[in-house]
Amino acid sequence: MNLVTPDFGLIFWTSIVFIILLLILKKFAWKPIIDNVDARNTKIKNALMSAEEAEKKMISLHAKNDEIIKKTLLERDNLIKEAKEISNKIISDAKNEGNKKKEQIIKNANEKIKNDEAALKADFNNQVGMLSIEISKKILSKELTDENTHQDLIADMIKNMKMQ
Amino acid sequence: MKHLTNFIILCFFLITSNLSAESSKSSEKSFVDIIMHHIGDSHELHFFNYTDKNNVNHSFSIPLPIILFNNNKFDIFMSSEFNHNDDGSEVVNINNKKFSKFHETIYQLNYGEKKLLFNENHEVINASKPLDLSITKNVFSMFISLLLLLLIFVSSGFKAKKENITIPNGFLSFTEPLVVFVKDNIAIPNIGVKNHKKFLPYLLTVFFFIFINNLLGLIPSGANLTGNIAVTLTLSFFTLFITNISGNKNYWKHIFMPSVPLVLYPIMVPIEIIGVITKPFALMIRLFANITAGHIIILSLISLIFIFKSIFIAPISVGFVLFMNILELLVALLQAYIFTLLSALFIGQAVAEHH
Repeated sequence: MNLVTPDFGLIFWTSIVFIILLLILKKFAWKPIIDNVDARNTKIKNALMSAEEAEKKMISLHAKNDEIIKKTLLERDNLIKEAKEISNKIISDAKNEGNKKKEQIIKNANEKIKNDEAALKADFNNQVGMLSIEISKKILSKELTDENTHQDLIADMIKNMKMQ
Repeated sequence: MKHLTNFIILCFFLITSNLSAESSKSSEKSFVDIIMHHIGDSHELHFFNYTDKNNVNHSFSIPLPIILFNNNKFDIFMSSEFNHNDDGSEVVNINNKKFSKFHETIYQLNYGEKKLLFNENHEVINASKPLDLSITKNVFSMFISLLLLLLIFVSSGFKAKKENITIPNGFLSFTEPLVVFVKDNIAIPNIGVKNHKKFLPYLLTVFFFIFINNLLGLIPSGANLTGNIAVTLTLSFFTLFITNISGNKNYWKHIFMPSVPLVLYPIMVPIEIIGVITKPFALMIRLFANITAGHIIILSLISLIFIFKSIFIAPISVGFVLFMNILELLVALLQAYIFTLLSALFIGQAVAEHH
């Protein structure tokens, strides 16, 4: 067995062992291992891509959110402003109305007072007139009696009138 | 520090050089024989020899089956029949045939002969060589590597199939990066993304076959399988075969109709045809020479102790052997890488679409 003389037995066995190895490993080792690596590669690629997409989406969402917040703030301010205006208006309206009513009431009261006064005056005048007539009647009926009686009668009458 | 080490080494050499003067030329010849025997193939798994109390030399070795094929008949027996004899003096009688082993070659004695006879050139004159398909030390080691490779990679294959897309663990976390390395750094750059899938199984198998067998060869008393020319011949033949089977139009055109003036064809075409053979031939020699050289260096360093017949040389020898062994670990991977890389390169040239 020389160092550089190939030995047929070894060539034979090497060929057999190598072909067996190649066939078995091809099916049961290289294919699953490489398939696994490839599958993982595509999965990672997809994951990266979807992550990028998600980031983009998030950024746009953020922008949208900011816009919404801005809008809401503006709306709030507007609402507050409006509410203030409305409340001011209501207050001023109420004030105006109150004033009007007050004036009306005062006016009415004044009128009534005037009317009552007038009525009272008229009534008084009437009564005074009636009384004067009555007194005169009584005086006339008792004319013949003395002066004193006159005086008494008049005083009595006045007294009565007063009481009325 | 470096100077100190150099100085110590020099001192050892000076001490031992006196001793070495005594050692004769003939003993050096025997060391060459021992080294050649160690890196060669053998019909038994030999571990060590020992001498018992009665001063009888015993060999501690495991016998391996010998399979001989001659005249359409198999003769199978264990190598222990030869009684560790390798000089042709032991004759074994099997199936009425006489066999003898000389320098790890098995001879079938011609009919009627009783002993191997040699001429003055140490050539056997009275025997024929049957076809030897024995499970030698190298074949045995190759079977172990076969089992190891199957165990490692089929289990990782099953794991890859089962775990599907998850993070690799166990064996797979060791094998997957290597597989991906061969795919991404050897197959794809040399063959191209389009064609590499077809050749990847071959490249992966050849890479791990060489790598594992290089490593097994480094184990003391292991076989020098990848440093055997028959093995590297077979492997490079596979590369030659695959390259030429898958060679496309451009490849053959480059060989038989190179783009040179017609006058140069008588020179160019033979050169190209020789080139087809020399590429895998270089592969064969490269792997064989690298691994064998590593083994020879380690064995020579160990032999120095016995050549100088001095225990003082042992620390240096052992130190250098340790260094060489570590270097050989690198070479084991490197040679597997180079063989695979060049195979991929040749295949890539054969399937390339255009230059």
